[in-house]
Amino acid sequence: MLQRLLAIIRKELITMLRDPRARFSLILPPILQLFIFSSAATMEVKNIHLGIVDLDRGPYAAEVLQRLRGSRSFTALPLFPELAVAGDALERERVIGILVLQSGFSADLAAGRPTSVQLLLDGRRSNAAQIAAQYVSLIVSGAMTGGGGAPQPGAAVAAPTLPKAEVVMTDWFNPNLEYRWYMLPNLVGMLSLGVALMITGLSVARERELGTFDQTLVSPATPVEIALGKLLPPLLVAAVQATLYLLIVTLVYSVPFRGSLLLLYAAVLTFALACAGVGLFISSLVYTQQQAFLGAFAVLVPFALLSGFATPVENMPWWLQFITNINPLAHMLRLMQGLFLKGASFHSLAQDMVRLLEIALVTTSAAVLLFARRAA
Amino acid sequence: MSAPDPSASAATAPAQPAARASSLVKSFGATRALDGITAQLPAGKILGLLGPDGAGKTTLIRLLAGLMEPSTGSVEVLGHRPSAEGGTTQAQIGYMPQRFGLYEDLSVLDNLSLYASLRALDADTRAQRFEELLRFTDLTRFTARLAGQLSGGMKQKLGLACALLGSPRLLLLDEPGVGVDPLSRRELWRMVSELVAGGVTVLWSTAYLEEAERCAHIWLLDRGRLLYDGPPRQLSERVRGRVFRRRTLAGEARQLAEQELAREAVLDAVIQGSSVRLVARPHREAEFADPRYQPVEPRLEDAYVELLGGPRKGESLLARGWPVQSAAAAEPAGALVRAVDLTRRFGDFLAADHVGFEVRAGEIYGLLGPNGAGKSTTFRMLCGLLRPSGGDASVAGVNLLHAASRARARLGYMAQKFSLYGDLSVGQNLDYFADIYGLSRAAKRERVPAMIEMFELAPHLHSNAALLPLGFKQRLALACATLHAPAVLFLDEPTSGVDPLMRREFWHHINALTTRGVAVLVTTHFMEEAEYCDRIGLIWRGRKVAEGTPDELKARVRSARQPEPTLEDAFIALVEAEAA
Repeated sequence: MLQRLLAIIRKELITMLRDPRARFSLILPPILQLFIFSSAATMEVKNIHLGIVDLDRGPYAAEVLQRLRGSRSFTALPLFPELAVAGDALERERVIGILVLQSGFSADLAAGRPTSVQLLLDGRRSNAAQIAAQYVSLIVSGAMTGGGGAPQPGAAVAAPTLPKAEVVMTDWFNPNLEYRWYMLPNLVGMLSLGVALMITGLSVARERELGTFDQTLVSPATPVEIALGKLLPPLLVAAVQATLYLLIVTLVYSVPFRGSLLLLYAAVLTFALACAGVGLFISSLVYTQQQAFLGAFAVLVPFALLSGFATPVENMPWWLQFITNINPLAHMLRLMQGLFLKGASFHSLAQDMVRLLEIALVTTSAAVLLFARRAA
Repeated sequence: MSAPDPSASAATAPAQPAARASSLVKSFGATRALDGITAQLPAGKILGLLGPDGAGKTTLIRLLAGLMEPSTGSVEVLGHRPSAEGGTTQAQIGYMPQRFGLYEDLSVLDNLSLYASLRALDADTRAQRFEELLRFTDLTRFTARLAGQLSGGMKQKLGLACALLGSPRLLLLDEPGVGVDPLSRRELWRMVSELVAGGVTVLWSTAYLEEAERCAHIWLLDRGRLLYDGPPRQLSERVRGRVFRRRTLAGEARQLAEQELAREAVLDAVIQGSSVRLVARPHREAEFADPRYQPVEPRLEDAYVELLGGPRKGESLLARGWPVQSAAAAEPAGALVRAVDLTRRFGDFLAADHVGFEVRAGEIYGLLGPNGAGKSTTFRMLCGLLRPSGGDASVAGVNLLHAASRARARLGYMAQKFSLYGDLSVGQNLDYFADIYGLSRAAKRERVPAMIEMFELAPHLHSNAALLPLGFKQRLALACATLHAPAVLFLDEPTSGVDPLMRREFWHHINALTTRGVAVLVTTHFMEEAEYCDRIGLIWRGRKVAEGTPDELKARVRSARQPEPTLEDAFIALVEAEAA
């Protein structure tokens, strides 16, 4: 039993690594992806323009403008004579929003009357607009000594409420809100998902196409042995890749790694096993590599979308939140965030780890059962 | 039924060759698929392009069709360079690729329409050609059926219809006979003969010698070189007077063939039922002037083998190194393979219907039948690749349904297509199969080097299996299938597409293994392979319709009209009797 299993695993590894091109394609693309995604997939709001319509021209308005210019959040602050002209610029996406300082703004403030400013935002770019709104409200409230205001009506309007007390924000776990710090640990999970899923997903179909599958099936090796022989090699590949990522992420991008290495590898291996199970499940159903490829994509995209990678899980309806609960990537991402940034203890991660283990057990046993049924 | 549109083709003068190649070379990287071909394709005839897989047949056809450019040398088709003046020449060429080039998800009519559009036929011509061709191929009733759901023979006819759409003067058929039963092959031959009578030139590529034998002219290709260019009869005439048959008792042909082959004067000796067919070396025919040796008509294969230099002689090292079979001896009844009422349903379709037979130790049993008849289904159930819907199967006394893994440990399997791991080296393949069959360390140390030695694999030990020459691939496959010295060997069309020498080498080993008590089960639709069997089960529409020795089966169809039926004649007659 062990001899046969080892023979199959060895064969799988040789198939993956013997050919220089195959070896290359296993190592290089994931690393390239890591570099590219970490630069491209940023949600930080940089390089934004905010239009200003200053109808007040008083000292407080000048103060607000001064502070806006002083902050490095905005690349440019073009001044517009009236709202109509500024609205046109907004429509053409030349500015992300328009800050309107009504006439009487300074006078009201000087007299201690509550007042407000109007901020018109481009709802099409909601994410960037929200962040811009935060910057503006911080700066405006800083420029003023007090007073609150009622929201102003208008299209896509967000009227910042002006707090009486100054808010001092500190971002825990990622003190400078470095977007990469968030992105890179996530990518470690994302990329090992792709590798584990594709390797198992394609390998059985490939063997079916080549006829080698029958050759192995007629040997005394049982379907369970063959299935295990297919499931385990991707784990090894995932572990090697995770090591590479860990080195790149910590050494090249200086993202701190605060967790336990042991837990990291446990998470990577369990996650890879869960994904390989899904891959094997797909492979058991299909006959050609093309079908396997489509099948892998059909699960890859929902896995990624329902993981909290792109959108917060908390914002999803309850039934999607339930699905994220059985999505191994969702747990993996939380584990990676925790291990890299939070430096969390085993207890705080145990829940995700246990859930990941359960998912892995379910996917692999379902896959092995289906594989054995379809193979004989 | 008449050949479609003969007038267009008859206009050309037949004296002009339909195509010519001079010093034609086509290289793919370091390999030369064609290595200096100079030949003329005589117009208005069927030309057989004969050669084993990998000889360069397809490359030559694709060059003639203008689908690729020669590396050096030149090709001329119907007086033009095919690719340079593609428009005019290609309109006059019909090309049917291997596996017929059909879109399986399109209906018969859609396939025709697609090819008609590719050929830019206008609506009137189109309607007329469709009608003619559907009538010619007898597919009128099936126009709405998906091409993927046609039988092999019908696919072949549709492929032919698509190739004939443009009323070609030159028709290129790439292995039209592969995967098609003998009945359909004969029908295709008849249709093509009609076309030739109408003035069309046909190039028919094949690995079947009996097909080539019927052609007016053949080109014999071997590793990219033209071994012979001329009428097949002229080639077989070379061995006239040197071909003999020696009859023997049933069951003794195998030993006799080995004995005869060992003689210096014998170039070739093969089994034909219960007799041995011999080819004497040149000028040695006097040594066969004995009444036991009956002179017979020479065949193309006899001369082909001589052209290739004759088979290797000597004892099979595979059999000599065979471990003593305790298992074969332990089986008192001697039946190492037992199939009882094997049945398999796919939905409503009964792919195998109560098929039963036994293979005894030392016996070669052939499952013979066209593709789709159910022989593969039966075969796959017996090696545990497919679960039977009913019936029972056992291998070397171990029930396949209850102890599959233990039963499979007793059998060796070799598939038609080369199916070892191409990305693994020769040595890694051997190691893998040794381990997967559970060879102990000591057994592995003994068997693996022994296999490397007896199959002369040492020079290729570190090259990828996928890159081996065809003959070595076959040796490696046999080595991997027999590493564990199985009691039963399952061979799925083991020598289709290889040259006669490779086939002889392969069967030499298999024959020798039977003397060690190995039981052999072969599936084939290849009559030459079937001749090696002790007994044959004829499978047709999921049922075993006849069983017996090759001689018995031939005797059943012997008549005044067919005094010397071949196995193929017997096959066709038995199947036709069954269908009637």
